[in-house]
Amino acid sequence: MKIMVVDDDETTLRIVGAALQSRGHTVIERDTALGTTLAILREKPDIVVLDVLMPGLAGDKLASLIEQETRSPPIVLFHSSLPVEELAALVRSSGAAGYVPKGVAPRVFLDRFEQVVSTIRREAAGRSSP
Amino acid sequence: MPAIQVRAALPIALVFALLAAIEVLYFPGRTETAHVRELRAKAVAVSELTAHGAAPGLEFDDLSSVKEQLEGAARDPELEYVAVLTSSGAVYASIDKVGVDVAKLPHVADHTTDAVVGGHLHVVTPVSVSAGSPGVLVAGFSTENVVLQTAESRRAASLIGLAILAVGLVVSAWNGRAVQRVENLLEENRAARRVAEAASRAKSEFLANMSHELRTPMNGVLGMASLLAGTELSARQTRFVEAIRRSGQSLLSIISDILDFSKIESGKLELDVTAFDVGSLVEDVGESLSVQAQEKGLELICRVAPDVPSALRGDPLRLQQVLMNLVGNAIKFTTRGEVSVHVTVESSTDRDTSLRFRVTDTGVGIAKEKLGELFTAFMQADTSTTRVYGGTGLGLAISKRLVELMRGVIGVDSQPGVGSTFWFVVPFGKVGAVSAADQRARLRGARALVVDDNATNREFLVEVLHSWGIHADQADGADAALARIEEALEHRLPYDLLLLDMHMPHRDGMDLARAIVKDARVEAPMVLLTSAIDHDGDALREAGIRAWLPKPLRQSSLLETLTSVLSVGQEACPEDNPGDAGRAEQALPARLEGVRVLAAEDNEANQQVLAGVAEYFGFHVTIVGNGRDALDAVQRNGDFDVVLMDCQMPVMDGYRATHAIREWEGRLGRPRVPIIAVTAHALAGERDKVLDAGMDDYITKPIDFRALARKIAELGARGAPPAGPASAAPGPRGVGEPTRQSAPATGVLDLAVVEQLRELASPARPTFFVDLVEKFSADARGTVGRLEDAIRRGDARAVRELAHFLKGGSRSLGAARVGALSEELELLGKTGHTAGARELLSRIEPELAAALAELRAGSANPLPSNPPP
Repeated sequence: MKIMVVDDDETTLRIVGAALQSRGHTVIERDTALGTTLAILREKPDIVVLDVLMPGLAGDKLASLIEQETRSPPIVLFHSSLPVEELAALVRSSGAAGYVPKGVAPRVFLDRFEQVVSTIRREAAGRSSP
Repeated sequence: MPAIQVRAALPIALVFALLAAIEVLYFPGRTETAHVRELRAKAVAVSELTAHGAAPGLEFDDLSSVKEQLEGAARDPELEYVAVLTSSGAVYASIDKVGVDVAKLPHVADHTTDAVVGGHLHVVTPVSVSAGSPGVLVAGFSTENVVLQTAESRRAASLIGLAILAVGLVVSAWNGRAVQRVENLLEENRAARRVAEAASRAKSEFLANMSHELRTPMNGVLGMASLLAGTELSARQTRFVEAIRRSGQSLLSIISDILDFSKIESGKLELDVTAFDVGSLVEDVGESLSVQAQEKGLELICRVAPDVPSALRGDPLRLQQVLMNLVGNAIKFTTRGEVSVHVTVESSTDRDTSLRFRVTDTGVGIAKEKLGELFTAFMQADTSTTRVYGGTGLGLAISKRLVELMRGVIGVDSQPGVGSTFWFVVPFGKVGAVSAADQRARLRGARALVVDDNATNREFLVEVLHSWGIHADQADGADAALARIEEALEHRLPYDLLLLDMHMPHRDGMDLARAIVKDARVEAPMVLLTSAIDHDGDALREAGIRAWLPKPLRQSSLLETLTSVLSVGQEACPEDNPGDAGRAEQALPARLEGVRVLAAEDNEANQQVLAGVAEYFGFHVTIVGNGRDALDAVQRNGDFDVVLMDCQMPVMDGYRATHAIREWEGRLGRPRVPIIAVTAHALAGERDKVLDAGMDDYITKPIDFRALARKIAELGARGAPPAGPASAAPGPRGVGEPTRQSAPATGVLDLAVVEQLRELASPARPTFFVDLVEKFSADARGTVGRLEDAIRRGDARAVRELAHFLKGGSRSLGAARVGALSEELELLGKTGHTAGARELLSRIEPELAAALAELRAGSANPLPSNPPP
């Protein structure tokens, strides 16, 4: 899969990028929220992983922007070190597909990431073949 | 009728009206008096003649004789009645044409009297008799004629008055129209002039804008060519690139000419007055044109009279421009012989020193009749030479305006076939005349090293320098000084100034200076502090000492000396002397690894150039297309080390963006990010303008990339000290350096996380983990420093954001304790208070140091020795 990761914290960006690459994904790393929608149009990633708390443009705002500005919105995931309840609420309010935790061991991140992706796929398959 | 006509006609009309009034009122009155006087004379004459004739008749009581006399008188047509009365008042004889009662009329015979009574001129005349009482003759004359004549003359006067009035009106109306016509013509003239002026201004502005538009792409062309020249090229390709650069440079100089000219024409060129060294400026001009002279086999001689002061105040760039133009012309129009530049003192006052510059050549010379046209725009002495020598023909016109702008005069003496001397005389301010505040402003931001073995002296000096905004480090001896200088060079923060004490044990100031001057990397001027009364100036100069000061130090003389050596040093700075390539090469900063630069630039070619420059020097650049995006970028991703701000951009220009950034920083209490203005205007006012807008420095297009890199190194490093070994110069803020304490042996790291991170290293990224740790180390230290600042300011919001950032990074790297403490700090920040934050931070620091130490140890070992918990 082609995955775009947007996080202003470069350390996290590198780790998440490397972790996803180690599972054979193509990763586009972006250390700023600026120009993300354009980059999505250009790169056409399958999944976008957004940091929730970025200076200036929070991930939930960016998520709605992505929905508005890209014709086929990719699946958006939040990753954050926010408490789980807050993350879940954000996902509901912004229409993102799910969340993955941040600041955890790479394997924990990957497990959670794959779990969310497969849930999404199942749901999508369920919707497309009623 | 327009007001102007009324205004013009009114005075004339009034004069005529006055004349008419005089005519009507005064003239008839005067005629009336004349008529009355005439009538009276006749009446008196007739009465006296009659009285005389009637006297014997009255005396001898001869009534018929009296009557005869009266009848004679009554023949006068104006006589209306006449009578002779006896002394008792009885009427003796009378003739009455109108029927009055003569007896009742006044007839006092004391004297001949007359009065107008009941419309008659009544005359009483005594009739003398030789014996007895005399009688009286009364006579009345009609005044009707007088009245008639007066009325007639009044009518005439009125007619004349009216005529005068009519003439007056005609004249004044005519005058009004004439004035109006003149006024119309003038107005047309004025309108035409306004249009012409507007057109001229528009033309100048168009030229200025056009030049700007031309310079921007030229920046791209030249920038790309420089980058291309830095890549591996064959000899042939190098020649091509050089040709592109040369052509580009000469095209640029033509564009600059046009820009200058149009700026001068539209009155927008200002002088940038600063202290400078005339001697070295002249030498620089000579040096940069020596190649051209040599190519033509000409000798180029520069002489500066010894009494020319070394430091004067003026605009060195503009002076250099004039000299370059005159000397360049001289070389251009001379085929053999020499070109000489001679500078002498013309006159000197308390405040000013006027210098005469003479540029003499042995060239073709100029015919006398052409001399006058020389300094006119678009003129070359001989239009046919344009094809031979090229050029815009603006050079001399610009030189003339520049010299005039500097309050000077310019002229030329020439003899065809022998040569020409172009000269100009310009007054320059004496350096002593600068205000202390002005001088201090110039010193702000400089970096100095104070070397003195005496701690009291040293600290005093450092304190004084700090108070002037100079960043001063200290060293207690020669060895420490050399070490400091070395460190500073390593950190790309070379000193601008070295203050050396003469008297130190082991190695004295001179000795140290000799050692320093040998090091070609050190450009800072050295100032020697000495208590010796006499010193050998030559020996000092030889040791590289630029100036010396007697001890005990006086602050004013220190200030003056520093201003002088530093400003002269600045003017000689390579970016101001493009010809001085050798020094520029030397001053090339090391790679700017890790410096984060935000560049706001709307031109795509220049964006690419910037990206190339970033790659070349190794700094990280984020490029945005306008001021608003720059503001957004700073606000969202606020840890840029330097911002490059193009001044002219769509949507939001550089000035406004800078203003907004400064305002935002002030509101949130964030540290000030250094902003370098990138401007196409090589104009003097521009510097003040960018500084006023809150920018820290500026660089003009086309960008000299070495100068840019140097500025980024300087400002960027100042904003965020480079990671790695402790900064040589602890900044006034004391950026957070983790205290080195022995760390707890276990639990510092989440080893499972660390192990998994290490697994992520692949053959493609062998240094992944090591890089990651170093990146985190640099980020975390910077964050801790900013946290200290935020806590000191009591900025809870900044504390929250920074702690959140630290939490994320440290957890990602398995630094669990740092993560947990950071989260505590973040939650504290959320409450809006910072009480207790300092204590928390002081707990974070040792944990962070320990975590980093373990991470580093882990990255050195192939596998962690501890099993996962």
